[in-house]
Amino acid sequence: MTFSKFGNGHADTIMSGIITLAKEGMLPLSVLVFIASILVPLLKIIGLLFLLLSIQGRWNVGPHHRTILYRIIEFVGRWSMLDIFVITILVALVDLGAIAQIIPGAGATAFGAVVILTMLAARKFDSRLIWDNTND
Amino acid sequence: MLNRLITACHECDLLVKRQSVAYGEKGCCPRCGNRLYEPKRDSVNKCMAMAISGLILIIPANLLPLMTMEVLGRSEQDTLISGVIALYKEDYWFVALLVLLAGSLVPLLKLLLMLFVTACLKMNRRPQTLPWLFRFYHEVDTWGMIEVYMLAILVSAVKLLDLANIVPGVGLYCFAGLLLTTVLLSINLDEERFWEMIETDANS
Repeated sequence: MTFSKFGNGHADTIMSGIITLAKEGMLPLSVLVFIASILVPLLKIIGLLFLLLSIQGRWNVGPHHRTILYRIIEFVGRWSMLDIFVITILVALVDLGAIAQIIPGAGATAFGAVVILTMLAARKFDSRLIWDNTND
Repeated sequence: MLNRLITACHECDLLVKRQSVAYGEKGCCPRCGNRLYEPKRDSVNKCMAMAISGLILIIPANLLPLMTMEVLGRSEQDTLISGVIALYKEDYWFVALLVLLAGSLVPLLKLLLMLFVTACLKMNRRPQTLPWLFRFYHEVDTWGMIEVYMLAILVSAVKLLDLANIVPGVGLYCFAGLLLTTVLLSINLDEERFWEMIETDANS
């Protein structure tokens, strides 16, 4: 999104926001944002890929742990919508014409699509498949 | 007859012998640990009460200002719907649609479905669509994201706090109440019991 204050606008991406935070000495906070906004969605996709590959390849590695992994992926999915909601609120609230204004950027659509698609992927995944090749 | 004695775990498909579980206890799948049943006291009544209070609260929560920002003598209000409209005006219709669905339409749909289902169960009516509607409720459940939205309100308030004066609005209290009712509803919802009631009276 673009945040313009007194006419000087600058566009913010998730990554640039993290770098700004880190530069201003708020390293712990920037790490938190990095985890929540970039690492978690990425790990979600990698986790699902791992689950699917493990089923395709019939790897017999800890069905218990894989079930827990699946539950975490399914639970965490909806919380990624947080960034989208924050943008919505900020866009509506900070609309002071020339003084300050927030305009959403194309990244917002992409991010929203990522959230929806990963949630759909997690829902469509059949957790029973994990147990199909086990004999206990 | 068989399904009275045996349940299939919906997470790992293991067939489990049914056991009666007392209130406050829960039955878990012995293989994957998934919760199979967890009886709740007075589930239908409580869910109906929560659905009604939720329906009362959801209208002001959507339409009244959640918070007001005061800066340089100007004030700007934000409601759930105004955020959607602002996004739509900036040509982000996809994001606007997403927020509208997850923030207000799906929660509204969920409450209406719950009210209808509980009303049918209370009045001993079993319309043909009842199982379908309850399944639909289950499907739609994850897409209502009131608690995520609540957190988003807090995050954006904190972000703007050093730029401007943020005053909570009436809508925010209604929204918090709505959040509380939906949480209480999902805590008190005994899906096993609901299905049992939907099934038994349809046969007899």
